Amino acid sequence: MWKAIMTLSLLLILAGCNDREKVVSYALTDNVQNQQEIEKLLKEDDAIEQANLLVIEDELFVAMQLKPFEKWNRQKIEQDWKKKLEDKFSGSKVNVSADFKMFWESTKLMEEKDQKKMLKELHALKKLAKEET
Amino acid sequence: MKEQQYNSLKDQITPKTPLAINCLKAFAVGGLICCVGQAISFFYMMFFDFTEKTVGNPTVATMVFLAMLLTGFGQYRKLGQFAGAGSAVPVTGFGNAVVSAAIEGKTEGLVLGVGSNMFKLAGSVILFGVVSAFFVTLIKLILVSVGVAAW
Amino acid sequence: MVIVFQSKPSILSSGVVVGPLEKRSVFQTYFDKISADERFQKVSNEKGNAMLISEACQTILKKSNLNNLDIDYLLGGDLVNQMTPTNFAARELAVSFIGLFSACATSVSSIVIASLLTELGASNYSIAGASSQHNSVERQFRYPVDYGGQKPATAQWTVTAAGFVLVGKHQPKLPYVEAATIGKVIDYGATDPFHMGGAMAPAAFDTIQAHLKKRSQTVKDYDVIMTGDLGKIGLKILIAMFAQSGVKKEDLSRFRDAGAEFYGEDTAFLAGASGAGCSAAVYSGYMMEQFKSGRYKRVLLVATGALLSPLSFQQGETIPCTAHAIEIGMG
Repeated sequence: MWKAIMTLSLLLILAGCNDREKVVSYALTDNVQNQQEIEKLLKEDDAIEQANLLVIEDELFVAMQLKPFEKWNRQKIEQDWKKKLEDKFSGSKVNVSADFKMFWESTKLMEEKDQKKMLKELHALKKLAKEET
Repeated sequence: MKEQQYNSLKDQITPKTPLAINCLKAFAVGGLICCVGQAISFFYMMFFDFTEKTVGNPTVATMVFLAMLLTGFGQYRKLGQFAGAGSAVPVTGFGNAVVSAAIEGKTEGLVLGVGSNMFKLAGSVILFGVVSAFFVTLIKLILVSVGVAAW
Repeated sequence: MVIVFQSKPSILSSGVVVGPLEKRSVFQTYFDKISADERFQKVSNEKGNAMLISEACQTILKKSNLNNLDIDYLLGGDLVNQMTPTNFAARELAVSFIGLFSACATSVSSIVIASLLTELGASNYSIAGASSQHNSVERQFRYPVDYGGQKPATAQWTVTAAGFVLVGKHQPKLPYVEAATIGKVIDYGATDPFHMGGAMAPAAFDTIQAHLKKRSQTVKDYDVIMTGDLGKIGLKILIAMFAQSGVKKEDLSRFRDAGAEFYGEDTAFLAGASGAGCSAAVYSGYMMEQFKSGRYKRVLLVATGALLSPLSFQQGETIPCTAHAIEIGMG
């Protein structure tokens, strides 16, 4: 009896685990159309499992989680997306990362209310992405 | 009794190693150790400033530390008897080889005992790992110079 | 190869000292002392091994009311390089010392030499035996004790034990050494150091057959033929060999092995016990008691030994083995 209740509740909890949109964005810009375009592109890409999109002033930051098998082509996908976004939005500083840390931190960042703090942390994240060892 | 006759008798009576079950056990335990490693990686990425690129170092260090504790308390050999390759192949197996040899050498002092004996089992791993890394890099250098590959 | 002792030297006393793990042995009531620490509170395993031997010899001296000046010869050996544990124990005993190496067959080869010295009239009292200590032997021949390597089902566990006997002139109502066979080195091409039983069985077979032939005996003339440490699988192979050579099924039950029986059915010890201390402890303790209680009248003790070194194995050599036998009688 107890076992059945435990397994059922466990399943219920787990079912609620991965329930979020494929692409979540946070935008502080007037160009809503651009933002929606990027969202659409990200949603269409089959290699991406989930993505976070951050648009603040002239910074464009995409953090994505790739599907397991696509992780082999991580660097190529990152570079392709960077080029794609830079071509489209030549004015902004584009940063694309498929790193779990970037995704995790950007998810936390999107809860942040203070814009200045957000920018500061975004810069810190960008620096972290450049680390080699 | 002739040698050949004896050897066929010996092979008949000697129990065969249960390869299928051993492979399964190794698979299960090896996978579990890797799961623990992944959990440790996530821990470091979530609570500290490590990215996927840089989290390898602390994860391996933690795994080796855990292997050291288990070896010192005599539990790793019990795991090894059960899992075979499952516990010997991951980096924890390497840690176990080094630490168990170091423990054994204690009675001859730190320099001649522990120092000399520590890499008795793991020395080959280190040597051939470094040598093969050298050759792989050399090949890549040649390929890049020729223009076939990129760094 | 076969020696017959006209004067029938007697086994006057015995001393068996073992380590803590050996409490799990089925023969534990026949051990004189079970130490709580396999190192006897010494700093190294080798020193602990030397203590095992010293304590076993002291037990004999106490039981037979002698002191070390009464002893003419100490004969013994172990598995560590240059037999240093036995050498250091001999230093403590301060007796004329003959060190012997027959690997795990040293328990019997030492008794044979002691019996020869007694027969010659050169010795009144000699102490003979062998010992082994698990950790020091593992270090010598295999991997560090804490290493997580997987041992196959044919592997055996080296015991921590020392078994010594006091050999002297014939006395009534005590077991005596009637004959002995010094084994040849037999090599049937075995290469697996984790399957010693399979390597040593041919040597045991050869020695037993030589003994029976020269003495004009059959298996039926013995209550028990007990080998030293063939282990569960090695014993099966030996019995199969004798079955093929014509021994009847009901006589095959006379074959026993000290290593196979040492830890009983405990699967943690895989194929059984091994080591110079295994045969020494069982022969000196359990076997001698069976004689004194009248259960056995004539027994053939065949200690087996694998004459390899870790270096020879790494150099691709096979494992040559030997077996030495003594015929013990009573009455």
